[in-house]
Parts: sequence; C-alpha cells; structure tokens
Amino acid sequence: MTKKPHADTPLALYIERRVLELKPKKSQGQIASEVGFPNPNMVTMIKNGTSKLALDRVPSMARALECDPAYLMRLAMEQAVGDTAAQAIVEIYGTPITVNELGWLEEIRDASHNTDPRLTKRPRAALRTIFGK
Amino acid sequence: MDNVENLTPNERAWLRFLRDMSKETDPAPTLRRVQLLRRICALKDSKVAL
Repeated sequence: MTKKPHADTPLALYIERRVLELKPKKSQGQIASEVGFPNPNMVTMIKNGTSKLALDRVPSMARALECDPAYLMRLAMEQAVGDTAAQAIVEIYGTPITVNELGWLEEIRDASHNTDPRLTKRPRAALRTIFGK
Repeated sequence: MDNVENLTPNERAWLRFLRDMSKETDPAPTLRRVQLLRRICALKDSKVAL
C-alpha cells in the first residue's frame, strides 16, 4: 500500500478543491505543466497526500491554481511543520497576509474611520454570525 | 507582500479571529458579508469604534 503521509492536510484538501473548481477551464495535466512539474502525476500525488508541495513550487502552483500565493504558502508551510526551513521562514518573514485578508482589514479600517478598533464582543458575534458559528 | 508583523496588535487580533472563524479558508470579504458586518456592528449609524 502506498504511504500517504500528507493526506487530508489543509493544503491537500485545498488543492483538490481548486483542481475541481478549475476543471471546466484546465485539466490536471495542464496544471502540472504550468507549475513546471516534469511528472504530470505530481498534482495527483499532492492531492492524495503521497507527496507534499515543495515551498519553491508555491508561486507557480498559486498561478496555475489561480489562487492567493500568500494563502497557499501558509498552507504549504503548515504542511511542512517540523521542517526546520519552513519554521525559519515564518520566524524571519512572519505570516503572510492574503489579498482577501487585506480586504477584510481595509473594510474594518474604513468602517472604524481608522480608529484601530479593538475586537470587542459585538464584532466577534458579528463574525460568528457571518461564518455561521 | 504584507505580513502580520506590520499590523497593529488590534488588527492582528481581528485577523486571528477571522482565520479561526473561517477555519483558515481565506474567505473573501464579499459585499454581503461586509454589509452584514457593518449592519450588525451598527457602524453606519454610530460611527464609533467597533
């Protein structure tokens, strides 16, 4: 039986979702080619957790999957937890913010007239409602 | 690329909570969500800090 050490990691699940969402536009083989994988099965291997996504492939993978590179990098680093290099990257550069997160922050800044609001009980409840918690 | 270290402590708290609530799915601030946030917080009327 093939070992799948990275099965069901957030990155594997996210890539599976994006491949599915992009299915009407491009095939998995095309995605692999756009990323620059010599092996066209590499996307499958990442999806099913046989292989992890190398950090140096994150930018090209994000372009191929048409997703936010900061988000993908976060997931890739998370997948590589325990990997000394990944931990060092986080320590030095911090956690990257995605375009969507920046959008949220800009909304919050605008709504609060740049008063740097504290996250009090009311907005917490609002966010819980928005995300159905 | 921006990163968390450039944010204020309050913004970091917002971001942490947002990531928590969305289970790290990187949700888009859609018009509906933003309107809901503003409505619930009554920001338009009070114009006070959240």
